[in-house]
Amino acid sequence: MLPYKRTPKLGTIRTHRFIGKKGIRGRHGTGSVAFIPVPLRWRQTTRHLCGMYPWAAPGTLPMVGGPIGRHEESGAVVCFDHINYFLANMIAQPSLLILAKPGLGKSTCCSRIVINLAAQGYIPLIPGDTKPDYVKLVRALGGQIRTVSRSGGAALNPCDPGGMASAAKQIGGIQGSALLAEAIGKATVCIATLIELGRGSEAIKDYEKSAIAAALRHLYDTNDEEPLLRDVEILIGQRPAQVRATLVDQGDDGAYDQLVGPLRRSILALVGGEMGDVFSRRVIRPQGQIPALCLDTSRIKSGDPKFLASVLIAGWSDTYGMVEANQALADAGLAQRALYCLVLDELWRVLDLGGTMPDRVNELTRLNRTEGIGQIFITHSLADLKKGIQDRMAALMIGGVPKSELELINQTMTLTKAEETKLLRWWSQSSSAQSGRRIKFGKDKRLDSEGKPPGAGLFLLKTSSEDPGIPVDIVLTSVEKEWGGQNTNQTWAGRAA
Amino acid sequence: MTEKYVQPTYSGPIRPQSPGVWGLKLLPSLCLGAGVIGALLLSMLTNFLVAGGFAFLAVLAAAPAVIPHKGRTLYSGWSQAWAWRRHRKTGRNHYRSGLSGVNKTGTRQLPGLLTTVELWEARDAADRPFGLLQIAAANQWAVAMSVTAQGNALVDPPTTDEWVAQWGNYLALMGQEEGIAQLASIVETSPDSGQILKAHTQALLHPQGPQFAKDVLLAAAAELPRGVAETAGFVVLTFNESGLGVDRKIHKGNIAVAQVVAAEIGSRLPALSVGLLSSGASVGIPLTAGDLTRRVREAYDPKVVGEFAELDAQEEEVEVTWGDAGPSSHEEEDTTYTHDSGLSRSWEMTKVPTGIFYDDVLKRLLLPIQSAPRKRVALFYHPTDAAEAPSLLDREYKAALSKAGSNSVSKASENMAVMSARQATEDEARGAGVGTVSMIVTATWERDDRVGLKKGTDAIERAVTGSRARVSVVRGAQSAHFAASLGLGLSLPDLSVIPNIARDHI
Repeated sequence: MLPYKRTPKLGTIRTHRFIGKKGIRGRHGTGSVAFIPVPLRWRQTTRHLCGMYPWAAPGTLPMVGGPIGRHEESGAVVCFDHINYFLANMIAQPSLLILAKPGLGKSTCCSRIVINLAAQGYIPLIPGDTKPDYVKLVRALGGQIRTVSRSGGAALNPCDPGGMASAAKQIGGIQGSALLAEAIGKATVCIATLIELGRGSEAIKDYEKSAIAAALRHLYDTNDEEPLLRDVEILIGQRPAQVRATLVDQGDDGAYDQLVGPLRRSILALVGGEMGDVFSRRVIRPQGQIPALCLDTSRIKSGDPKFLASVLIAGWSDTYGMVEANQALADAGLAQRALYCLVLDELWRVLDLGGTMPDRVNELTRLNRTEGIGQIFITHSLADLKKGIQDRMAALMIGGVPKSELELINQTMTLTKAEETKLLRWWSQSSSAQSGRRIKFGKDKRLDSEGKPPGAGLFLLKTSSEDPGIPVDIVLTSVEKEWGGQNTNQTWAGRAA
Repeated sequence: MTEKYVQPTYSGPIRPQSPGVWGLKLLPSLCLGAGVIGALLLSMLTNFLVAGGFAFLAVLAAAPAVIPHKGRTLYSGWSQAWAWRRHRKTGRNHYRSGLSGVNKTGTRQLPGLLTTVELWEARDAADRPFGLLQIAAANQWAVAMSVTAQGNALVDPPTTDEWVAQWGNYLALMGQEEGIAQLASIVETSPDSGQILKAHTQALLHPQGPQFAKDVLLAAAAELPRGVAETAGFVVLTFNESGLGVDRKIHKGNIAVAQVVAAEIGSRLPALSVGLLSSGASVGIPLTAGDLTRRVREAYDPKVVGEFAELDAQEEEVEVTWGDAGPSSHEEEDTTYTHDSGLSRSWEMTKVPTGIFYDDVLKRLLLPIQSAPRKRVALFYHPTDAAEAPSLLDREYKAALSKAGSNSVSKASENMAVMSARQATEDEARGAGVGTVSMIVTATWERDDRVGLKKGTDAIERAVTGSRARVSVVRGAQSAHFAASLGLGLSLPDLSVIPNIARDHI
């Protein structure tokens, strides 16, 4: 181990002047010290000396990720996105949960993070935009928007989630067949969930699921084209041997028909009637990489919860399938690996339907490998989320929430009393702003200079139970304000979400 | 049923006590005794007049050694003023380095006390590189670690108290570790020009990202910063050579000694850096030699901070050598220090928070101050060896008792002194450490910014008055204090001529 860079040693004559304790010896320009001062000192035991505590002032906030806003108290810039935090080993998974009561700027916060990630090369995927909040954003990013409506809009084919099956055909070999098996499994879960939704609280039977899986397998093995739900129904009606094998009907046609009857009726309900033709057409997939993707579901009235939930589920399945397909293709060297950021907004629309929905959501939103994939979940109460999803949240951004919600949050991540007080204050500020005053006077005089009601746009960023949270004030840039896509005034000037 | 929360208090440190008569310290008492004996002898050998004259002269000579002036004796104040006058007359308070400078190597060598400090690079037991500073003049070695303080904004008071107590434990640990001469905790604030954020954001952009997103991200980096200062924390440990197992007779030559020291400190560093985590700071990350050199260069020439930030943005390495890290010129005045593009002033603490105080006593001083954006607060802790601590505290207790007992009407303050001395012995028995604390504050402005200097001086001196502490501007030793608060492990008591042990008694 050699010395780094040397300085002249004490008393060396040859190449340097005399050097002493006080500096270079000599006059005029040597820059030595006049005398060696000794600061005044006081003695005490450490039990009391620690009271002169040097770490009482907060240090600089970590600079990881893109800037999203300012610290609420000190005004320092806060940088955050969940993917960079994960890459810096600050959180265990690249997943973020944004939690706040309605109208407090969850979508704006999410847009900020999504724009920052898009600039870093991550592709935002928004499989289900109900308000719509992100359509303008995706358009500005140059991405694709698929508008879903009962008839004539974009299609969602649950039989081939995200083009996994066609990717499997492309890859071929052992990996291809493994991917195909994955695709069939995913498709089965999706179709099963849709059927469950249609039936109400009745859970789908296990043999019905195996029948669907067998039918899909047969269709994929025999056809080149992507199968549709109608094909599945027709195939089941033809009593093929593979499907019979799963039903153990002992060659009895009557027993077979009795077993598959309800299944066929449920599938038909999906492709005709009240569900329109959303699930009965093939998806037109773009060639090459798109900078962003948004599934616009705003045409579907919110008074139609079951249909909306079905579309959302099919959308999630399709999008997650797309991610898996890209990963598999990239593994096989057939495509460039894309980095995605998935945004699941309005989770509660599906979770509120209860029953098996939370478990299904958990299954559908699971990824085999999370490298290069970030996920953002947005909801307004942890009560709807089941354990599975809750455990996957590595980072939380909590806006104003009432006291009941705080108890739920404490089960996942411990909050200090100071943090709880702050969250309650944001909540109470905002709820008084949403009272009847605005309706009466037509203009809420308590909006601040940026047109934000009090308590909105403020989130507590919490990444672990041990570290204190960072209160962030989300700030929009001038570029965003000019663009107007964040819809700030419109969103905050009166629509209770 | 929750208990009412009671915030813990801490009692102020006291000046080191020294046994003596009539409230004098040891040396003056001895001299007084010698003077009395001398006068008596003289009176026996010659007449009373001569003896009286001798006694009068003795008292005259001794008075300045006893009369306190700003915490020190008059003699010490006079000798410092005389040394400073001589220093200035002979032109030693100027420094010229570089190609036309005093240094024959033609580089910008560090001036003053830092001339004899060498820099080495090594790896610790956790395979982290660290810069090792050799303070050859005092046979000491130092390591610096950077920490990020949590601050107690959204943390419950019991947690903060826990942090403070753990900091006390860490200080006690310093006394138990062999060979630690000084622990310096430095909290540095520097103005945030937004350039580092710009550089960081630039580095995040992906070439294939959408243009709109890139515009927004760059706009955020430009618009969000409001000039809030950055706060950085450092912990610098200074070790004595003897405590590291160095024997100059066995390890001959600088390199052999350095190898032994690097191995020893490297094995201790991981444990020492982890202990900071529970004290409300983060885990200490050792500064590498490059980091240290860069810090010194930025301190001596604040203008290069922006240039280095740009180099960071372009992901190029900042190349500074230790021999080039100093200023190209400096002018030391009585109360200011001008170096390259900066004008600095240093203060030392002349009054501690007295009585009882809470743990945020220094908070106002540590937070960024508007009119002094670039400042550092250095707290120096010199642990007393754990083996000697009990006897030292006993001596102090006896000294306090004798001081109180000598007056028939004992004053309340002396009673307090006795009580706190006894409390100290009890604390020590329960595992606390003992040590001394001192503080230096240094602030830097732009070279010709005299107005800012005046404003900042007022602001800093006001920031401590709330806690009944006081800082006063250092006279005649500005460059020495600048170097000491820089965080390179300089332990001023160990560098001075008077040995540490005797210092308390003079």
